[in-house]
Amino acid sequence: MTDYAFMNQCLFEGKHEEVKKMTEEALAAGHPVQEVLEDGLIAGMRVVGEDFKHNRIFVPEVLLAARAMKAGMAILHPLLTENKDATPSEVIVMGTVKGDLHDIGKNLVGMMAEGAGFKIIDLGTNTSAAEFIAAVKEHNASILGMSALLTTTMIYMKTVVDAVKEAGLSSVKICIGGAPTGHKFAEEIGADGYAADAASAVELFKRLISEKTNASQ
Amino acid sequence: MTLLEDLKRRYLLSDGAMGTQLQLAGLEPGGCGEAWNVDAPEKILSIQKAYVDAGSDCITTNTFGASRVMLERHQEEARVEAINVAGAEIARRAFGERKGYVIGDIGPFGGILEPYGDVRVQDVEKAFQEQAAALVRGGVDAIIIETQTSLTELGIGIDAARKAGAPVIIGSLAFDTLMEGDEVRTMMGIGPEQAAEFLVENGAHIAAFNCGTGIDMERGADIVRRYRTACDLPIMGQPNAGTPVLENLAVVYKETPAQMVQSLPAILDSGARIVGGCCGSTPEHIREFRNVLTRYEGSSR
Repeated sequence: MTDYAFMNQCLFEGKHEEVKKMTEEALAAGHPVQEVLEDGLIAGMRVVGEDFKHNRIFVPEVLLAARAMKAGMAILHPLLTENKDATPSEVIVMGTVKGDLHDIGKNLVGMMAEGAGFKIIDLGTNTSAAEFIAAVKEHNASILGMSALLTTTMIYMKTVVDAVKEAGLSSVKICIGGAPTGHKFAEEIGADGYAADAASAVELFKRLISEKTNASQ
Repeated sequence: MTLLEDLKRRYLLSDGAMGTQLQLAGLEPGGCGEAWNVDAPEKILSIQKAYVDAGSDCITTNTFGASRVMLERHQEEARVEAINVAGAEIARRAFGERKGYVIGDIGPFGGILEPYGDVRVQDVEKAFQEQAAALVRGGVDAIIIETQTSLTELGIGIDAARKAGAPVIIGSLAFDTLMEGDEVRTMMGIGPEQAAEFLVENGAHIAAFNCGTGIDMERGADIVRRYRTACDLPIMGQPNAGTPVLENLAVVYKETPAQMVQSLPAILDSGARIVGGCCGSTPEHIREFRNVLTRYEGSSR
């Protein structure tokens, strides 16, 4: 019998080899791929996100847990992609904006979002509006995430928001983050949301997706 | 007299921000400000001269992002040596005939080290050693390893400065105010006491803090107090000019010189011996620091 609580605990502690082994064993015992993903991996990352948000753990612990998550995902990924019945993952295109080379925060958001089941297209640093737009179109992204650490580069986020609207991509939700940004700034530039940390970012992504789903029903 | 001996006799005033001053001087967002040490040295000199004129006893070199790892991002890595040596020389020239201390700046390499991240310790060791050696060749009086959040990276910087023969080594951490409660920690989860003990164990001469989210003068005074309880090293504090606020779609540091120095006596009372400013602070802020410092020294005598 698969002990998902124990698997969650191993993931929380960053024991990547154990998580990989337990993922394999769960599949061998006949558990559905989607269940192993949800109950074994994502549930564990949820606790990591919650504890990180409340400062009970810090970046090193999150990075180790994300690595354990990745080890489990590596086993599940081929099965998830061949399983046509599974709901396709929502795509998030993300990058640090033009002129800014800081990516620690953005990478953390990417890892946490991946851990929550999103598909991440990471455009890296120094990303132009044109590059964001091309990637959103190519991958049919639900969310565009932007990061900036500098007070001078965050202004470029408005350029991207305007360009996305100009390009007629009205369905993609735009989220921003980074030390100098905030809710008020997000509002002023016309972005759909701001998150202060990686765990809150994942909550924001989920909320925006569910709002969108509800609106289209 | 060395910086450390001088510190025993008096308070020292360091300088204010470089990054925000470079932007005012026309540096493009994301541009390589350190390359100006070679390409536009007169601009760096005029910023640092303004700090000397305002009363700074210590000038920090414009080499925050001048390690090989950081310069590679701008395809400037071929000029590591030249940029760091020039950085040290410009800061010295800024003092003119005046006596002052040049503090060679080593900033974070910008990534996360193994085992948490994918950057190899040996690559950062090599980069910091190369930078520290160039700064010492340029004639610095001290090296500051600043805006640090990871003890591993800080330790690599301290070792590099020692190997290079830096006369004085300053370890400076960037603490953030946590969203809940009054606690401060670095991004990697390090608290002030742990940092202070690490600095002592690893042979730093001065325990410092700079920058950080939500760290203003008052929070800074708390950090100094906590350093003080955990170690006997001289303490240096360089907070930001308040917390940035949004104005016309731009983020600005609004704390005026007069506002910023209100808590300067508190930081000195807590035990800081070197004070200065980080992001958003200007020569005007440093001038006001000098005034308050002079009065403070007069009254405590």
